[in-house]
Amino acid sequence: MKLLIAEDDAFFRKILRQLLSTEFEIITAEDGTAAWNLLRQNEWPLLAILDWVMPGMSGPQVCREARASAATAETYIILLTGRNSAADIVAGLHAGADDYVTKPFEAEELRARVRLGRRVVELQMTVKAQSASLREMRQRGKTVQADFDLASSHRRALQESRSSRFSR
Amino acid sequence: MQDKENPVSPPRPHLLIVLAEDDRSTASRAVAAPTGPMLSGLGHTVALVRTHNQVLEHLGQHPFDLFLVDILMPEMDCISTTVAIRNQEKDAGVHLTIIGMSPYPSQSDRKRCLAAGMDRYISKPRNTDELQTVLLAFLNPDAIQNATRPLGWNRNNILERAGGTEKDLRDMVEVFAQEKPNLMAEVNLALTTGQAELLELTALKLGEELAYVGALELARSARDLAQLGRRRDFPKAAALIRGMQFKLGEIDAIMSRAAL
Repeated sequence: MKLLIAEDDAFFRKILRQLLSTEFEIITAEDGTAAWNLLRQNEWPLLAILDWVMPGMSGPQVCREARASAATAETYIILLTGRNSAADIVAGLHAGADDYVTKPFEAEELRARVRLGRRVVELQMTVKAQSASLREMRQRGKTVQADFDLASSHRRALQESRSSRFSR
Repeated sequence: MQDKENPVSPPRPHLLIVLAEDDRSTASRAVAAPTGPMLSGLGHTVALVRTHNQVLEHLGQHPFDLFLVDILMPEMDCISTTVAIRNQEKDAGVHLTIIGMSPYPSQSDRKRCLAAGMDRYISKPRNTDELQTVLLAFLNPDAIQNATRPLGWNRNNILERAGGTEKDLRDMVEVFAQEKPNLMAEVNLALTTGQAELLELTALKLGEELAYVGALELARSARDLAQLGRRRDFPKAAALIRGMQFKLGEIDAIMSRAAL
């Protein structure tokens, strides 16, 4: 699965790549605007780690834009930041982030959270596929019903015409 | 952008050196270039001293790997300094490598220096190649102290943070060694050009990196630096950066050694 890492600090960009590149296909952005362009121009990635403080758009700004657009609304977004007060966490989640990791993070915890994101995305995709096939079945059901209704009405009409003939 | 995956190579050994040398001494300069810049050029961290008291003060504050002394120091008798160091070591049970160097080597000086407790007595290196040869002779891993240094750096914690394997730790140390100079250059640029906002932002980044690699004391200094940037207090910021430089060199040394 593709994973977007948006981080202006080269150190953390490299660290995150090292930690996650065995499990994910990594693409990186060095500022918020580039991150937003990558998100909206592609149907992937469905997973993104966004640093909070970046030149151009901040992580929360990218989050808000992503949530406001149908194409990117379902992207699983993890905000990454040195801020860790309750107010900051609430602000991050309010902007539409799915999860929140503070620096300094532990490698294993970060991996676990990104894996959780992948599971959510995979589940979303399964649900989407299932609801699509459900819609299709329902559509097919409607067609059958319509045929049945038509047949019934024909039958009724036939019966009516017969009974009227007999009654004469 | 695409980061190149670098093959893993052990970080270059990095020594903490107390250097007693008087770059104003014409006797020495006539023969050899100043050693300090050559050592820095080779990537080592150097504390330059001129007096007996400065030497003891530095050694009291940090565990150094090497004491390199020009024996023709105008303000210092290297023999009594060596004796003082050896006396102090008796109680602590440690041994600092002391190398005496002379622009005009003689047999009688050699005897006096070795008798006082120096490990080696050499002709003063005239260029980087000669100096490198001397250090390579010294640089066997057993000779490098593995003592825990007083910077609150805990190898086990950081090994775990990095992912748990030795390779994870090496990778982290290597990335830090690659990226830290760029960030420091940016900090210095912000300072010299008076860009308060850049100083604050870069210092915050530096603080996050230092916290990640476990240099907590330095991370706090970086956060203080960000505050000074916000307040546009450039003189205090400059002083704080000067104070951080040495400890940054030290944390480099500690980590590159710990990751070997």
